[in-house]
Amino acid sequence: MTPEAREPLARYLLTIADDELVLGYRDSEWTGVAPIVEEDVAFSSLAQDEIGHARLLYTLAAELTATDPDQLALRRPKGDYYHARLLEFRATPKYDPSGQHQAGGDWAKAIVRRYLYDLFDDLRTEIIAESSYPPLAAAIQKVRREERYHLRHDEAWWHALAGGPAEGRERLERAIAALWPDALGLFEPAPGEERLVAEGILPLTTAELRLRWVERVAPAFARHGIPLPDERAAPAVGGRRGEHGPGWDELYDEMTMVRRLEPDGAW
Amino acid sequence: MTDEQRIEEFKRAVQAGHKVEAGDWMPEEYRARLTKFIEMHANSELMGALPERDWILRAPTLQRKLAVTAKIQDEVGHAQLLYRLVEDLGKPREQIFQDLISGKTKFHNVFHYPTKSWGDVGIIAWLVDAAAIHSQSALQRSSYAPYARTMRRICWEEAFHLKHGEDIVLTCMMGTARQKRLMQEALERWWEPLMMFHGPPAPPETDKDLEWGIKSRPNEQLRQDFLTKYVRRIQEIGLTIPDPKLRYDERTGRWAYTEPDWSKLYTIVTGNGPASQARLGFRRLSYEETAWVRQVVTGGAQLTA
Repeated sequence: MTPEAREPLARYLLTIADDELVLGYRDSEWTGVAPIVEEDVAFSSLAQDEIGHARLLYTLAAELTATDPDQLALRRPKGDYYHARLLEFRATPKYDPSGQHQAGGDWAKAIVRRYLYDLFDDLRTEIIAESSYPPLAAAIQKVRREERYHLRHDEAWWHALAGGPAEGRERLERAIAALWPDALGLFEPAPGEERLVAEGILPLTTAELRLRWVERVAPAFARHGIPLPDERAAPAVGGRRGEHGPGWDELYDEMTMVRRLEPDGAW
Repeated sequence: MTDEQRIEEFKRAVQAGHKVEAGDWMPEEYRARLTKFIEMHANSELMGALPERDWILRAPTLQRKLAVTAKIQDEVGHAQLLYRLVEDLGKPREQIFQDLISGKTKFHNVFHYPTKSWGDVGIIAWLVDAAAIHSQSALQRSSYAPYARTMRRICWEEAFHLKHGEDIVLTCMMGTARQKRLMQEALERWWEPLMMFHGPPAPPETDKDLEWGIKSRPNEQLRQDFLTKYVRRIQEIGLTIPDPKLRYDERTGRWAYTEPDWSKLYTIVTGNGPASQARLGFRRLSYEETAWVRQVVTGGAQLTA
């Protein structure tokens, strides 16, 4: 690896790690409030896997930037996180000690987000497995083993909602329509990806995965007669540059709340 | 043999150590008490996820984040195992949840309080779970064999929660003044609920759950066990227990402590604790928002790819 590739590689690692971290945080919120207790347990496992993957990738990024994984996960400024915007909104209700809880739990959105993201992540980890940077190629093997189970879980719910009673099907279609631009935002590349491709650290850029993803998504829609939204629609971008929405403001505030009390303390 | 003789014979058998299986004949009173007892236990595991759940997003390191998530996942998993036992005893899951959110059935006193800081996360995982282990270990000798077996698995997992909680407390107690204060204040909030945890010191001979062998150790004995095991440990790590009357009486071999106001316990578990209605409201909200999902599942959708 040339010295010029270090910075883009660190940024790329942070981008993937942030995706996994933020989805892991949002999915962990189902613990205790999922539709059936079996899914409290399942979503909690998914969340722990994602956080574990994030930690693995932050560790690699930390080696390149002489810091530590917790520093990267919990102590960067709010605008220095690079996850896709799809991953940051809250899909569960929010507890308020006053009893004035915020409604808005949406299981269909939680499932659509997971499924569209996991199909993307499957393609992304597939190309990363070919990376010429050995620590990354090795780490991603472990990630891929677990992600296989995630896809199976997503597909089970996708088929249940798409093929079940009308209400579930309608909610699924509404969730797809609402999330589609955000899902396309997954393909916004991290700055410097071309350099990584030029050096063989990545075989393809993230943007080049879009067509393959549509080829994976289309049959899942067609199987249930769900119309595929326009794949040339304008994607919700900005996430890879640290530009996020209100979901991230809320999450960032919560996830750093305790740490900020004593930022340098042992916890 | 008359019904009464049959019931007396059953009672003598369980008192002599006989274990009852799900398919065995059992007196209606036994079934009713067992259902109520296990259902409250299951509800407590499920409602117990809520106070800690607020801190899943707030854990201060990645390792703590993973541990807190896994810990709460265990609690919900325990609820799942226990609800299955209640279903086997004849109460459908839908009914169980309806009764919980309408306030008809109860859950444990400690889950009616708010959590205010990271200190609460440590104190709950360490000491509330420690108090729970004492009653749950005794339940491994329950006369109802499926319950006793489930408790063996649950106790095994709870032992990890204790370590996790103690580690959170210990790390902060070795930290800055502010971190120590978080823990001391949390202990002060939780001490009274902890002292109420095992219930009022009812004379064993009037406790019907003991008589049927559903539980095997009286309330006061469980509290004494807890104090014997943890008072010194709490003090050793530098925390001050907020009870000036607490002391071990060599003469009686028992702990003396400030008697909790037991009418307050009753007020709390009947849904009038500081966080009771907020928690039930949240449970109701999440239950209503996901009702359509359960319809998809019960409508025969197969959750297979």
